[in-house]
Amino acid sequence: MINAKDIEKVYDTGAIQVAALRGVSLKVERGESVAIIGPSGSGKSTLMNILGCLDRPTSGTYSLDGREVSTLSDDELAEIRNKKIGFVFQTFNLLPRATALENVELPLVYSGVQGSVRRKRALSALEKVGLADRAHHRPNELSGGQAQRVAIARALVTEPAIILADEPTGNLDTKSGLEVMRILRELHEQGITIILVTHNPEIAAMADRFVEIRDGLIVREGNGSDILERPAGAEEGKGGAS
Amino acid sequence: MRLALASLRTNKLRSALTLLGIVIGIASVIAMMSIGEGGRKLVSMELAGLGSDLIFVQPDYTAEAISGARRKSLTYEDAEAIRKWCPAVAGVSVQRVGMVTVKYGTDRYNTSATFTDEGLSTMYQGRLKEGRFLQELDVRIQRPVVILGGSLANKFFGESGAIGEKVKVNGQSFSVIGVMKEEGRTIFGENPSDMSVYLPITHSKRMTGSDEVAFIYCEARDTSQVREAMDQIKRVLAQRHGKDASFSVISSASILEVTETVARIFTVILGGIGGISLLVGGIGVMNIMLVSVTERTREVGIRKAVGAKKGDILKQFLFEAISLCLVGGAIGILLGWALAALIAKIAKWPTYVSLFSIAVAVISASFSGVVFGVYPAYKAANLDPIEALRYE
Repeated sequence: MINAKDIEKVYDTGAIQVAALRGVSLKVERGESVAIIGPSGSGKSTLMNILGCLDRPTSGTYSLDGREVSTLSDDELAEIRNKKIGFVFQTFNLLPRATALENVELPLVYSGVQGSVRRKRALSALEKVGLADRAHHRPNELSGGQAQRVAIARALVTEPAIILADEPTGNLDTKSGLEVMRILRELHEQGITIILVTHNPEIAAMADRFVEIRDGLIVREGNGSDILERPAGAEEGKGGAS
Repeated sequence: MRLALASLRTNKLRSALTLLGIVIGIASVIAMMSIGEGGRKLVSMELAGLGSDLIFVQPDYTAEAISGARRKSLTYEDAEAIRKWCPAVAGVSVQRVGMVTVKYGTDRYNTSATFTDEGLSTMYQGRLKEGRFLQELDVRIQRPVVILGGSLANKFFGESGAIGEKVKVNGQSFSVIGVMKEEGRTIFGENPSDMSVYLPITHSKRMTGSDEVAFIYCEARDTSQVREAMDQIKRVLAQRHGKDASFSVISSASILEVTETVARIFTVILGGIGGISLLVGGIGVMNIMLVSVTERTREVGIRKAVGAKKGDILKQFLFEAISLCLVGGAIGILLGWALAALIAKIAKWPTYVSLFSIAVAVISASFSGVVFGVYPAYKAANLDPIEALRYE
């Protein structure tokens, strides 16, 4: 599904060049869930942006679903994002002036799905996250957990191959965070590939596998349940089961 | 796109103020053009009323201005000669303008007098309110008769009852034989011809000390003989005044043409003045769109993340700018129309809102939407999605 090889990303800030990624290789199989962990500034967001086709690597190759995407144009990347990738952000990133339903419809607008079909699909995506009754609320009328679930509905409405979640629980209280993680795990069980970026080891432990990044390099890899250097019983018994 | 309209609705006050710029711009284009068009229509209608077979003979004032040569004057006798020696000319009339004092009872006015002959009836066909025009005999025997301008008659006698009354012109008693229709106010104030008087030309020498004729107008026997008539007139004048005598001899058709052209230029200039305010309005739209793009950077980032292409974002912002301009344009057309009607009512200037000027307004409204929307939209479309998502 994902095959990234020797990915480097250098930011040219004029005077100095900053290497955010210094040769990262990552393979993710279809249906897997992978957590990318690391402290801030480690390059994990940069990796996430590249995996999410929001950015191109300076060098290295990245093939997504059998297609080489590291050299595509902006518009081609936009289409890949639209069809194959669903994003869930830390800050939700919902359009404040649009209703939950309109927010969920948005990706379908850009893939050219017609009005009534669009509406139906958006509603069923909202149902999946248990928010069908909030369809006509605006983001500021929703709680943080609800807003993030709307964002998840938006991510899955196009039936993407991958959902990329960047600190999805970062702005949420523990209870809402667990609810969001429960939904993500459900999607994972339905066969959607999930890549989770987080610095919270407990959240990361819920993935099949984790990859730790420091200073632009992968320093550690392992099974999700191994991430906590604690007895297995402390992680609420939720490891990779697939 | 619905979302584009939604964002216009959200910033109501700001959208309204931006709209105002376009509204004023389009309204002034419409109003200005209607003034120009109305003026053009008025002039052409007036000239068309003259018929296309008239020929105007004037001393050549331009030649005098350029070379300083003393111009040759036209006299009543020239008119007589044309009448006699030009077979292609059916009728001849003369006019001369001077200042006189007109008095009735204790009311007295210094006003312009048009000294003329029976040809007045052709020239001013349909403009007589009551009474009659001058007749050949009035001129020949210097009958003391006068035709009053509409306002002057009103001031002396009220709405009616002027015919047969006696007024004093330069101290001499004249009978009123006719009253002209009021021309109404022009954009510059009262029409001076409403206050003037019309007298037989034969009174001219005594009243103004000169019998120099301002212009002679001739009617060709028919439209096809206009050119021939003009040649004959030139020949007669050359015989009477010498070969180097320069007189301007022009036909009403060519005057009509020239005035139409002038009026059209006038319309274009007025439209251009309106266009400048449209330009200012357009810059306002661009300004607001730029602010809007900056404010909605994050929105652009979100849209791009979920798969919006550059073209999609470009279209959204362009659509927003164009709908602003079109709504403004629609209101502007209505306002301009109302303004034109108001000008027509207050200034008594005929305004005419043509389909053409509406087309111009609609086209320039959408055009300014495109022109002033394209840069902000382009800027939005080219935002980097990562930067845009990070934007606070």
